[in-house]
Amino acid sequence: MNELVHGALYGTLIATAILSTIAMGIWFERKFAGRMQQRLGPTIVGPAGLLQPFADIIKLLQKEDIVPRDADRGLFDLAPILAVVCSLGVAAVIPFSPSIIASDLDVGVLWVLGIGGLMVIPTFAAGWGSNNKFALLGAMRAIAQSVSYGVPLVLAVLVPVVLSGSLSISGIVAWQAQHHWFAVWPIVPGLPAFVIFFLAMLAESNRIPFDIPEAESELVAGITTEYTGAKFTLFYMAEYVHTLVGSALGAALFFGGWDGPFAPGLHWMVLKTLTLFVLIYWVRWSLLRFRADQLMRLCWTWLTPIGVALLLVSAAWVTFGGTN
Amino acid sequence: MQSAWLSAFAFLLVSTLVGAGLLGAASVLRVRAKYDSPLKHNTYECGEEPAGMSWMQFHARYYVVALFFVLFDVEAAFFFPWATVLREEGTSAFIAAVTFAAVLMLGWLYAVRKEALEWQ
Amino acid sequence: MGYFNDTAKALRTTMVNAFREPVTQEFPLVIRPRAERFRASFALPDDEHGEVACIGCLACERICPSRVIKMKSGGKKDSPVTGKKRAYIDEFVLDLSACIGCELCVQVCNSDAIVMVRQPEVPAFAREDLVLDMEKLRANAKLKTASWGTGTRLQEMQEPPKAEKPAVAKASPATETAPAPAPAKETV
Repeated sequence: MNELVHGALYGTLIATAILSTIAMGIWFERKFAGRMQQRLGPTIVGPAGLLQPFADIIKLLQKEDIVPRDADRGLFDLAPILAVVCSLGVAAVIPFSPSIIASDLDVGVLWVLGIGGLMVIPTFAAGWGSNNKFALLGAMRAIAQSVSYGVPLVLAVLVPVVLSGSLSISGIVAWQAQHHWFAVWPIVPGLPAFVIFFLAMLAESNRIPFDIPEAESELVAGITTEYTGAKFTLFYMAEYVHTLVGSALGAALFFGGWDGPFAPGLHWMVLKTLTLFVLIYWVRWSLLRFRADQLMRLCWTWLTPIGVALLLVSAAWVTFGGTN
Repeated sequence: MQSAWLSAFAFLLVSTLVGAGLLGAASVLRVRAKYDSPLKHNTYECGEEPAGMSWMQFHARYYVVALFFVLFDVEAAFFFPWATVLREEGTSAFIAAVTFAAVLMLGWLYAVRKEALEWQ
Repeated sequence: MGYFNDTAKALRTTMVNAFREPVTQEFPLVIRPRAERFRASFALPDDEHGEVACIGCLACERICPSRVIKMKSGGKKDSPVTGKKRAYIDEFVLDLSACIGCELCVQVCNSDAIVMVRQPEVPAFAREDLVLDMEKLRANAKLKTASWGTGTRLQEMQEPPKAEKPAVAKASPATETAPAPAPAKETV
């Protein structure tokens, strides 16, 4: 019972923190993207456009709720909530500091991969429930993509698991705090594994350059084509939550999480997470979209065998190279 | 460790509440249309009359991808318990994993040679 | 390898740009005054006796290129104000959502019963809100400023100039140009 309250309290805290970070993240993204293209970005609402995300949210909540006549009403309504649950639920096992963790599961990595992998269900529910050809095609592409990239993701996540011998994320972070960050040492399975993790995470959250599922020039808006107002907001939110939680996960698994000198653990974790978050936006506004076949080739002919090789290298490191 | 599971599910409950709360807030806040038009509830197809239902057949390549996913995910499921005991078991566990991965990659090599994973 | 080089180049370009001064400038947040002759919506004004001036002659309904005007003639009745017999309308609907603003309806109106007004309608949530029925059009006549152009004035402008001086007309029949009608210059 006590744990239930603990989970609910920390869940509320972490969810609030994540959602407000995302609100400001949207502002930052728009401003940053504007500057990258030598535009101004939002300037009107509030000083330097700071209130823009809130204006956006209020606008989206006020919008009329239109459900297509041919849609499967149940799936259509359920999908956005499931999408938020699947993307936000991953954050339950991520330690933001030695003490700020909603649930210190001993199989945290499995929880992350399991809940994150469930994301295909709301995606397909949205695509199928909309009864729209663009939405269904987008959903099929999204599923093919996240299912494919799930494999290198799992292989990349296995590297820190093998190196630390723990399936709990806080255990992995604690190991890194005692020894080295995995992205730094051992550098050979560590850093390439992080790169694979980063690419797979971009693909899982449908970010450019892997945003085939919602390629605007081909599929209108992918699975969100038929969604309006609040339900669209939930999908939009889920995508950003996915990105942010993915950054936090990358920071925890490969960059030592809350470990760092001179400052409290929370500061380090937030700093590392936001650095990865910004990196994702930097990539997003710089690169072009992959074609579907390039995407699949990258995943299956490059990332997957490299992932298996890195897994074996890290196993060899643990077995023969001693333990740091 | 049952306790941590309770916390994790409480977290899931909180995230459900976030989603449902936003939808609830929207149901209060949103503007309701004074007039309704049958066109508004049409499926979006770039302004054309929607041609039939979209619940139809897919390209077979999605099926191949799904098969490969099952294959590699089951493999990953075997790797997880192995990763935790690697330290204690030592060399024998390492050799087992190498053999396992070699067999798996043989299958992968076959698929690549057959161009099963090429999307035109 | 080409892809990695290009990726690095793209990332460098955007990051360099992010720290440059933006090229675009803030759009000036000044509400510009409307043009003097701006007109946007319609009204059904009263005649001099305080009744609806429209007599339901259907001229505007017939000339409207986008056919947005629908009216129902009410037949002839004795006027409650003047006691004389005159024609009335029962219904007058103008669908502003499809109106192209050509003002032909105003031009053909012989009884000056439809005019354009200077203030636009408030933005509506639905297309149907922009269908102006008789009630709204009558309210517009009271609340909004009518533009200068009425049927008689516009028709006057377009009439060929009256041959007041036949001598002049004979002197230069080929190059006869209509003198600009005087009222057009006195736009309000």
